[in-house]
Amino acid sequence: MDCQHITELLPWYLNGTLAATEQESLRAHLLHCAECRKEAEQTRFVLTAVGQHLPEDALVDFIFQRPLPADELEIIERHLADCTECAAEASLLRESLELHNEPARVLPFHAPAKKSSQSVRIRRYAAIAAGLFGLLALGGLFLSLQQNRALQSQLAQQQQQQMTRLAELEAENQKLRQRPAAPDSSPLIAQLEARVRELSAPQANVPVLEIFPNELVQRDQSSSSAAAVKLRIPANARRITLLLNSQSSVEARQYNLEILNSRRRLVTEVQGLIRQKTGDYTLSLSAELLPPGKYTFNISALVKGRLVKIESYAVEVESK
Amino acid sequence: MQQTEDQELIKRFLQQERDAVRQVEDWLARAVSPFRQRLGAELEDVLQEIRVETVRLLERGAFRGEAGLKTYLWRVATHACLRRLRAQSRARLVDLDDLEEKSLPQSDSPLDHLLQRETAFLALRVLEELSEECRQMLRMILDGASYSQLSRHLQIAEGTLRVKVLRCRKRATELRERFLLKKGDSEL
Repeated sequence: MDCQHITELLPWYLNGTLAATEQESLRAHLLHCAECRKEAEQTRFVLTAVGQHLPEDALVDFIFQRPLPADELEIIERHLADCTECAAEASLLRESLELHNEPARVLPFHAPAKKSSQSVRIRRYAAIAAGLFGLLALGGLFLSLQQNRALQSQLAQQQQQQMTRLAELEAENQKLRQRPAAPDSSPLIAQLEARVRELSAPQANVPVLEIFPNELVQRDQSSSSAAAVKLRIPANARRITLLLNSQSSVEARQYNLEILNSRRRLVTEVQGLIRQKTGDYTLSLSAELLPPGKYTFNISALVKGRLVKIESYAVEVESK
Repeated sequence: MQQTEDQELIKRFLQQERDAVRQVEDWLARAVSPFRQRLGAELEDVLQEIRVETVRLLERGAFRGEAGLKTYLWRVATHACLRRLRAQSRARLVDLDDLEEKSLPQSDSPLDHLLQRETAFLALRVLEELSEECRQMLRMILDGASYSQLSRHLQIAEGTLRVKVLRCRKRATELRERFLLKKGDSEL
């Protein structure tokens, strides 16, 4: 690089925007060329001049109205008219001067700015967290108060209902107390109990009465009308055993017996009768079921799914 | 009278008497309050810097009573705020110090401060005399535009751009020489 070229590049060497190789070449040249170093110094002055602002102390002196050389005063005034940065600084200085000229007053001591970093931030966050927590606590308190009120109201309602029910029960109780006394049923109970004991007690010499079916009785008596089998039950007999003689050829697993009185009312019914090998049915029943009178004994059985009467017995129980 | 009160306050402040410290703190806090928004999180750093600077200046006897102590401290505080604001946005140019055989030590002496102030006003004068086109091009370079970006933006060839910028630089250098010469003549 020649000196002419170097001189042209000096402004960009000084602002540091040359390529690295150019920067290095230029620097190497300047180390050995006094003339170019002088040019570099002048270039530096020119660039500095372009960025020159009013000297700080001159500006302060100007604003604080200290005596200044006339030529400096002129330059300052012209420069303030052209340079916005210096004009802004002058404005700040004027503001400060106004404070200086105010009557004396005590200002709070300026807190260090650095404290507004970590510890104050932590305190701020802690205050915010405490505030939020406080809000949550208040919210929770409010909700629980609401719930409490609701529960109390429910409780009051329930109490009211209970009081009403109690009054109703009391009224009923009162009515019951006022009702005439029911007849004493204990003699009846005693009677029934005695009867149960009597019937439950074993009985000796139970009479066995044989009854033939209507068909057989008609043949024997050569009568067309159904003559009843007469039964005489001993007076002291509590139970009787009846042997119902069967003449039917119908076979079934089980047979049913119904005993009707003279008015065709059912006296008793027995299911599960079995025809014995001797060809009769046997059953034991209380003598009280057959007081003197006429009865019909009907035997039926399930044949092919249908209940069929297979034989009958006319029975007349004579007075004892 | 004011001077006596100010000296008394300085003495009590340096002895760390509570009321005196509180008074000074109050002044400094009020002085920097307009800069709070622009400085943001850096405000506390700046305040601390100002406190240290205040103690240093008062211990050194830098306050000579030309204006009241309050005004003096107010200027110190606002100056510090301004300095920090500018540091936030200052463009960085490649350092040429490593090319010199000897590098001058950095110092903050009153002379250096004066030279810096003179240099600054010289630069401002030069800037006023440059054309708008030159100012615009040079400003974009200062903001970090490469020559290819600038040539595209201005819609001129890269070679033409480099030549134009060189002419602007030469014009600025001439102006600078002229102003330095003029100043030299006026001082003679």
